[in-house]
Amino acid sequence: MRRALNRLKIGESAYVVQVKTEEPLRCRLLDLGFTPGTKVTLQRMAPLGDPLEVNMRGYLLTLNRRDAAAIMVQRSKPR
Amino acid sequence: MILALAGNPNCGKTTLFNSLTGANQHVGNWPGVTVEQKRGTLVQRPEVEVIDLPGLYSLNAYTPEEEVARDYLLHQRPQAVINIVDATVLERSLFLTLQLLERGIPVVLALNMMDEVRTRGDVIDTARLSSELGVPVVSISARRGEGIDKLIDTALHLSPVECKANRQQQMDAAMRYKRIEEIMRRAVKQKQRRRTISDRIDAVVLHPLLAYPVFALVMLLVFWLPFGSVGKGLQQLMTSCIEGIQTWLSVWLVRMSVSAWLQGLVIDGIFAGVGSLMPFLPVILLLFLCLSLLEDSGYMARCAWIMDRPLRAMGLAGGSFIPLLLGFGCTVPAVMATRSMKDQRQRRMTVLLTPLMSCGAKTPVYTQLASLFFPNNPFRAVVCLYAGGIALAAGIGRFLRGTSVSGESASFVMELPPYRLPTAGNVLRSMAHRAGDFMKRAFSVILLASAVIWFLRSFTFLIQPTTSMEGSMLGIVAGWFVPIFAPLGFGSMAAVTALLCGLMAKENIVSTLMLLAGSAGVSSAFSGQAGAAAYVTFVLLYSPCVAALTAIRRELGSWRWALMAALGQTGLAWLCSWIVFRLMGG
Repeated sequence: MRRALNRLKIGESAYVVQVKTEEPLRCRLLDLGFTPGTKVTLQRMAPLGDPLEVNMRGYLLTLNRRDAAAIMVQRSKPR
Repeated sequence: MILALAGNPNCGKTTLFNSLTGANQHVGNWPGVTVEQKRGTLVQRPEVEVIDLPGLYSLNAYTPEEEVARDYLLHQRPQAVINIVDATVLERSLFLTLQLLERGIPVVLALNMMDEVRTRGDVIDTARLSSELGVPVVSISARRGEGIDKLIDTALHLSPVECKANRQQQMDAAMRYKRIEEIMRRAVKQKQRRRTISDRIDAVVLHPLLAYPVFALVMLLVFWLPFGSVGKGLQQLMTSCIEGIQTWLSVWLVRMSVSAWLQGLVIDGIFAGVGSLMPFLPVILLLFLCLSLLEDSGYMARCAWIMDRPLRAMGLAGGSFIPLLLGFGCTVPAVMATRSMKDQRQRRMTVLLTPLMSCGAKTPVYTQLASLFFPNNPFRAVVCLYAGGIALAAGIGRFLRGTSVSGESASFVMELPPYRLPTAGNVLRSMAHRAGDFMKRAFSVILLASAVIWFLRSFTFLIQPTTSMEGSMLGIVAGWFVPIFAPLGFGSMAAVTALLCGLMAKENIVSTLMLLAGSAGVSSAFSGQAGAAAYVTFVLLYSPCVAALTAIRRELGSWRWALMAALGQTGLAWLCSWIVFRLMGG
């Protein structure tokens, strides 16, 4: 089942399917490691609900809820 | 021979640069403290030049700062590049490494923070990593100075020809990460991740309920240390030192029977000017100490994270937080720090609002006048001024939000680096740099200004010595401006001249006031408490100094914005001062 990254619960992990947003942000997100098949964990959200903090490839990255909505993920690892 | 240092932000690049060159430089945890190209030469081999490039994650530059680094790497073609990576986040770091290799750039890979990797229980097979990548790999610890000699040796013996021959087909991001995962499987053994110390700190510091209280507490401490009793104590100590020297010097000048005018120049001119500033050196140093601790520890990035949402209400973003906070130190580096911001309009707004964060050079004016006119609670008066600047910035940001100046808010993508203990070396280096800067200004711009003002005050236009202010050159010129400020309660020659001199450097304001009025007479320059309050308000808001205006022009690319900042702020200052004067019953 596909969902957007911002739909994950805190502490939940999923695998990236694709990044659907405009350049140059798309390119930046891919370069930072959001490539298909990458495991991401929603670590926490800021006290006011935005931005989010995700754990991926062994480091912590923050991004806005709106941008996280452009990253599609799924529960199981794609083939 | 030129060696370039390239790597992600927060990988310890600047620490390595310092230990390679011994140069005076600032190191921070904020992605992008190295906003300028820093150069130096190797300590052991002075003929080798080292360039510290701004941190970048990828050759597909995203921020203006990354563009600088990319352009250098791709177009200047350095003979050797040290690609320094934080070995604790090897996977992401190797992305840039692969890009560099694809372009045939001669690279030696420096694995930094290997001590941390070992503590975690991970094992990196450097020989295997080297053969997989086809480049030399050296383990180092920049903060402990381990492996530096071997790194230099390897870098100096790189063969650019061989690297060019190794140039490969360019891949896309997904392919690169596939390759990296493959390399990681072969060369790295990772232990099961446990909760790190960083995670534990974040659990408290970024806790939904505790985050803002902790933030408020930290900010209070940052301002209390320089402006509260610690700073005050040091300031008094410094004052008595300066007074001692001054007494000794004037006795000595009399004993050496030096002519009266020279005595006047040294004691009433230079000493009254430059000497009156020295007590503020510890205050400014404490402020910069706090800022550099926040930066180096990694907490500043967290501040940006929790402040993103509130800042958006003002047409700014989390990325604006660090420039704004640095603005309390000095506007010039603060404005330069905006280069790590992607969105042009957000960046412009940040640059224009930064001068409203009261800079360190204005501190002497506040503390001087607050203790003179508000003896009951000078600390509260100073807090009010700082808060006033912030509130005005928030109001203006809010007002301009959605207009063509501000525009829609853009994305905020940032790494949260792990907490690291700031090293004494880095913090002291940054403070020494600030102290040096302050002293240089004190003994150049401010010394010269003090001497010139003394001359203009002591002589008439016919170069006749005079003791009356009204007849002196200074009195006549300042007299033209006095009527503008009379409605604000500080239409005195001393007050107005100090403002004019403050355009060169804000430190000039106190030194000029002292010079023209003398410590006992400073209160005569204002119409009572209301006039003094209006004056500090004006100082808080009026045009940034020349150095800051130049920085604004450079960052925003045209004099138009710098001029707008100067005129707009001065107009705002006049209006706010007038309101304060009226409210205080002047």
